[in-house]
Amino acid sequence: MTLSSLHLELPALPGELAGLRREVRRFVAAERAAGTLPYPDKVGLGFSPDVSKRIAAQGWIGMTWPKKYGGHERSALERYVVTEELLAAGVPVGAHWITDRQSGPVLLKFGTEEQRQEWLPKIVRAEVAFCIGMSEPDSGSDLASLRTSGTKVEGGWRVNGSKLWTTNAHRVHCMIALIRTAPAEEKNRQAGLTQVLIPLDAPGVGIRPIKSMVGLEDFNEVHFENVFIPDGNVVGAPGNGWNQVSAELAYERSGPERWLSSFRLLAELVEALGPDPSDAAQVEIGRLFAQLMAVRQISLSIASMLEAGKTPNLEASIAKDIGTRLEQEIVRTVRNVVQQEGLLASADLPALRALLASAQRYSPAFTIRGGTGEILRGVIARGLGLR
Amino acid sequence: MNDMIQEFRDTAARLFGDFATPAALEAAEAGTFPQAAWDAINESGFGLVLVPETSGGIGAGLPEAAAILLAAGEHAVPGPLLELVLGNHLLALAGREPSTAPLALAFAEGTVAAAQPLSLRNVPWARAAQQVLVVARTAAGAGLAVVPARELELHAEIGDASGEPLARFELPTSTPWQPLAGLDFDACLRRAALLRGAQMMGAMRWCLERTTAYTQERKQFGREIGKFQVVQQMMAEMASAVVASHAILDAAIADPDNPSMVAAARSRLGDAADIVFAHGHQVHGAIGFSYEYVLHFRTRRLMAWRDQFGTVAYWRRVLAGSFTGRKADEVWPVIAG
Repeated sequence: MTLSSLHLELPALPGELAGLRREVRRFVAAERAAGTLPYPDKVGLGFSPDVSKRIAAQGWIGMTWPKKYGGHERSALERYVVTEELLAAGVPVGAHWITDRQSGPVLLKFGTEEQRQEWLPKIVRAEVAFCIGMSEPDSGSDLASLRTSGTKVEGGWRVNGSKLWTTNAHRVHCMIALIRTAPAEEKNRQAGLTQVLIPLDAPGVGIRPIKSMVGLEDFNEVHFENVFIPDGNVVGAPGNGWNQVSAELAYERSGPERWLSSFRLLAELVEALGPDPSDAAQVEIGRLFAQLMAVRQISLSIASMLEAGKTPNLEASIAKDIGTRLEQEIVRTVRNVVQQEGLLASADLPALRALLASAQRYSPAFTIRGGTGEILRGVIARGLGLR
Repeated sequence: MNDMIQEFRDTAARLFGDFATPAALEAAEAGTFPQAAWDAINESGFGLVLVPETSGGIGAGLPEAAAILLAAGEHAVPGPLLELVLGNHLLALAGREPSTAPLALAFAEGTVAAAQPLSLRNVPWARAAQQVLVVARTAAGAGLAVVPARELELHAEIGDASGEPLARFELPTSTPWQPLAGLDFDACLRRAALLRGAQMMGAMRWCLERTTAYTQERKQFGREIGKFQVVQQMMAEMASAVVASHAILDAAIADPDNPSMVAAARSRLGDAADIVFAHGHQVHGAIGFSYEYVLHFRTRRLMAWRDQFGTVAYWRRVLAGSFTGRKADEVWPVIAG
């Protein structure tokens, strides 16, 4: 079956998940009331180890992992509900987000028993966090061209090269890097890539934060100069890196973080428009919410498929492409409605004002990070049989 | 999709594939009622899909009816099939016999007061219909007027993009309104909107498949045009629009009394139709603009259907209404429950 007849199954969201949803909302409300959770005035995942520890205490990190590693053995749909609720409320989850979504699952699926026992319980308690080393100065969308190398030495590997745009490298403990440990094959450029664990305090690791146009230092340049890692730090089989990275794509691309980034801005607009919005504003608001609800259906369907053990990478590409474009569309449309209705001319509306400024600065990243829209649409075209 | 729904869709697709030939489509547009198709539809019993078994119908639900309409949209079946399917449902609710003759179906604006003539506009297929059904808001909820078409003075309207015949008429003040058991006006309108949405989805699915195939057949500059990245990007956008609108349409069909969900589906379908229309034709180039090539039988209808049984703007306002007046923190629960 090609994509032209692709039809997603209706997601199954069991009614008992409503209780979990309420639980997360009560947590957020209590934290806000206690003054330990800021009201969101910025777009982007805020980084707060304290907040992550309190979320961990609720049992909301490593939710689906086995209990023997500290996990909670809950379903992928339960995890989905928690992530959706935290993001919709604008909770700063950046200190555990990538680790919980990607690094932990990679270790669980491909890591050695030692690696799992060492890292997973600490991740679940939000005591350690990871970053992902993929992009390099000369390798962005063309990831397989990466050049950071691992050379076999006695008892381990010597790593040399640079990673770029590595989110959180300056404030987490460890990187799971994709490096080249064998030359590419003529017919298979993706051969010879390997995932390795690199503790960021290892000798030879240099980290330089890069300020983004948002004005924050969230991502980094990371240099490796003869960094030694022991054999025990290889994740999975040497040379199997590409397959391992691909296996995580559906998780990376289909979650609510791919369509909720600018949701708070839209919610603040609704509040600012008050009880009697103009016809024109209603039409715009309705259009955006319809788009949002449709992406959510796709995201939910994918969560159900993941729960059933499938790997819906193609569907996830669709979710991320239209989800992230919607995130940008929300920013443009909110700005237009704000102007058209003269909302900021007559009132302070600090939350709306701050979020709008933040979102405009942040929005170019939506369709770039985690795979550009052009690459995603290439994947979709392949699904249609065109490549 | 469960087996029963799939079976309805497959059976309908087989039947419609036989009679919705280019010649039949052209004849219907030229004003000849597609009688052969109509007879086949009646023989299949599709017109009775929403009529309870106790009234001699099939007694299936909205998902099954939508599967039939989706297949009809896919094959560009001419004639008032939606009107027959939903009209018979409404006739049954009003305690009347189902029809095998064509029906027209219109929704009146505002609330009907006694002794006030009602103007109905842009009603498809009214001239071909034996009975015209009008649903209106009444003091009691929803009322159904069933009027023999020959008793109405029908005026042809300027046609829309679909090429389907449209009429306007005045409903006499003496028209009796019958109560509809269990459905209010908005519930009726939502069902009509969803069935039209299913028809749109069928047309969009067909356009996506045909256009994808075309990019693999047509060669320029020595290779299939589907090999060009710019064409691939357009096809990806088209596929995503279809998959996304289908997902929300399914959710709405499963939950037809959730006004936000239905409104979201129709709004999203409107956006998707615009993309399918634009990209489908752009990728096809000149051949898709020719009358002979059957793409336009779907795309023109999409442009008309997107605004029938509630315009896209109407459904967007309905959806916005679910959020109006809420604090920022109260917005998300409207979506997630």
